[in-house]
Amino acid sequence: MLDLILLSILGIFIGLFSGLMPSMHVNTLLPLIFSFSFFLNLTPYQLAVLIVSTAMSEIFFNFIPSIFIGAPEESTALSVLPGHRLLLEGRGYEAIKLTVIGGIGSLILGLILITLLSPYFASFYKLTRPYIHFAIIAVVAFMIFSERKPRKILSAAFIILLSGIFGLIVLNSQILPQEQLLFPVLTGMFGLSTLIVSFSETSHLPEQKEDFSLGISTKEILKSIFLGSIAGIIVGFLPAVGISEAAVMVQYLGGRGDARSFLVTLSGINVGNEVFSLISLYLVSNPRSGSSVAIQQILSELSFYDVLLLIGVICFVSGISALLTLYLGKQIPKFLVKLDYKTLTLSVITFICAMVFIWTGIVGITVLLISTAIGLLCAYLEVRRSHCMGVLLIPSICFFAGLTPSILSALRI
Amino acid sequence: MSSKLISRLFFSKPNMEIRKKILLMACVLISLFGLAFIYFSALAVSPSETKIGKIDSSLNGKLISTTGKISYVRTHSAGHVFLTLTDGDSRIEVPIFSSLMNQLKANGINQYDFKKGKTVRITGIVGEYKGQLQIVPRKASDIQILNSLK
Repeated sequence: MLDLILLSILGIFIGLFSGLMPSMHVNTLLPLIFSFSFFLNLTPYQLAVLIVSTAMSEIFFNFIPSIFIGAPEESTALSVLPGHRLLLEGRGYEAIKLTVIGGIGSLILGLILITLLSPYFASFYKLTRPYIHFAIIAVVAFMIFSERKPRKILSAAFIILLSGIFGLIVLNSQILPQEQLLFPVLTGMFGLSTLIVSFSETSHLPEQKEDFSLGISTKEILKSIFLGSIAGIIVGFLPAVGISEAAVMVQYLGGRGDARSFLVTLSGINVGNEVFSLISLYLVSNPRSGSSVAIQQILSELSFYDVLLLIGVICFVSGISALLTLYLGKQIPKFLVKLDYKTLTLSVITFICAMVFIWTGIVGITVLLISTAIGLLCAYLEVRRSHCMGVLLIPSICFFAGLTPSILSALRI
Repeated sequence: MSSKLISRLFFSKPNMEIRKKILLMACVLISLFGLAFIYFSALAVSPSETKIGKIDSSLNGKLISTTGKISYVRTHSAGHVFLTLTDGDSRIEVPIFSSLMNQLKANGINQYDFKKGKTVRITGIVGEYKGQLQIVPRKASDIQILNSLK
């Protein structure tokens, strides 16, 4: 028991590191965690606890760089605008507080919803699986047409098509091992391109206010948590459909225009998605995230008691991570205002490039360059960066429609 | 100091609109040329020939080719075919998913061609499913039936 608590705390520290380091992700750290477990002689259960605690804590800590530095992960990329809006008003801490409230609220509500709906997931999954590509096509169509203006609709379609072709070639090629490919792809599209734009536009971090109150009603918070939890579970169900797409749909359908309610919803989707992804291993025997794939490899079959153990770890880790995020959200701006924002952004850009080079070599840098160019295209064409998710959406549509073997034969790769 | 210099060079306001257009064009060109470059690099990658006994988790995610005898065949109601290939004492699982089976059928190979004792050459990505190593072929040309059952 004590070993599991200690490993959960260790996972929180690894999650803190990967959450605060721009472009780092638990998936990137998984090979290191595996080697580390071998060195410590961890049992499969202990390793599973370490991975779950790292993945959960990272979700909370991720919002700190995405709000204060503007170097988000793909899953928090949309928080840049609403988060930065509050940051520029001197209310960066309020933005952090809202993401923590959204995360914890969605954890509680998500667990209740998953428990209530659990008897139906397996049959619903079997029923919908043959048609899942139609659902993804509908999401892509929605993403394109939600841009409204004809010029933007065309630009969005171009970005989705370009990133989709890029995804089909890169993800099916052998220029890099499969587990390393997504790192330069997503870092370029969502991390580096955001930083380059941020470098050209933001000159300094504004002085942050001491007033820590929330500018949003309790009713609005509850509504956002509810929408976030539901959307998180749906995202967990639909392969390749990411947090960003779900957030855009919720924002569009639910009228979540306000930055505050948007941040609560976005954080709720992140947590709801991760919780469902882990529990889906037990419910539908199908992993839905990098960490759940790793757990399936370690534990093979999950029993009901394993799920209870993982839920316990998720709750314990989320509580501590939430408190730590709030503490860091207060302390980090005090440190950041003393720094030159452009130098900081440039340092982060250099760090990301160095990381990609160390992990994936010159081939990874080439992939990073192309994906950054596609990410920057979104900024210059003034469309949402989430269209770059075509890199996963188009290959997924082809996979679920059974077209991948024919496409690979045609491409001869 | 260096960041200010870079900022002045690339983002000074009077030239912003012109630079935006140049950067837009540069991004389009980098994306398209990069795509072509990656595609031709992908064409040049060839799988490494590996004996079944030498396949381990260090090859996870890599493209390899291997040859072995079919020792077990299992078909799934959804149209998937699962082979177990052996080479001496070593064995490996080969899942052939329904989408690939459909492509094989179009090439004149159906599930009944995979019989116990036949030798096949498989090219595919090494993966792990529920703790077991497997090679996942991706297209019809990844599967070659080398000899007929005697």
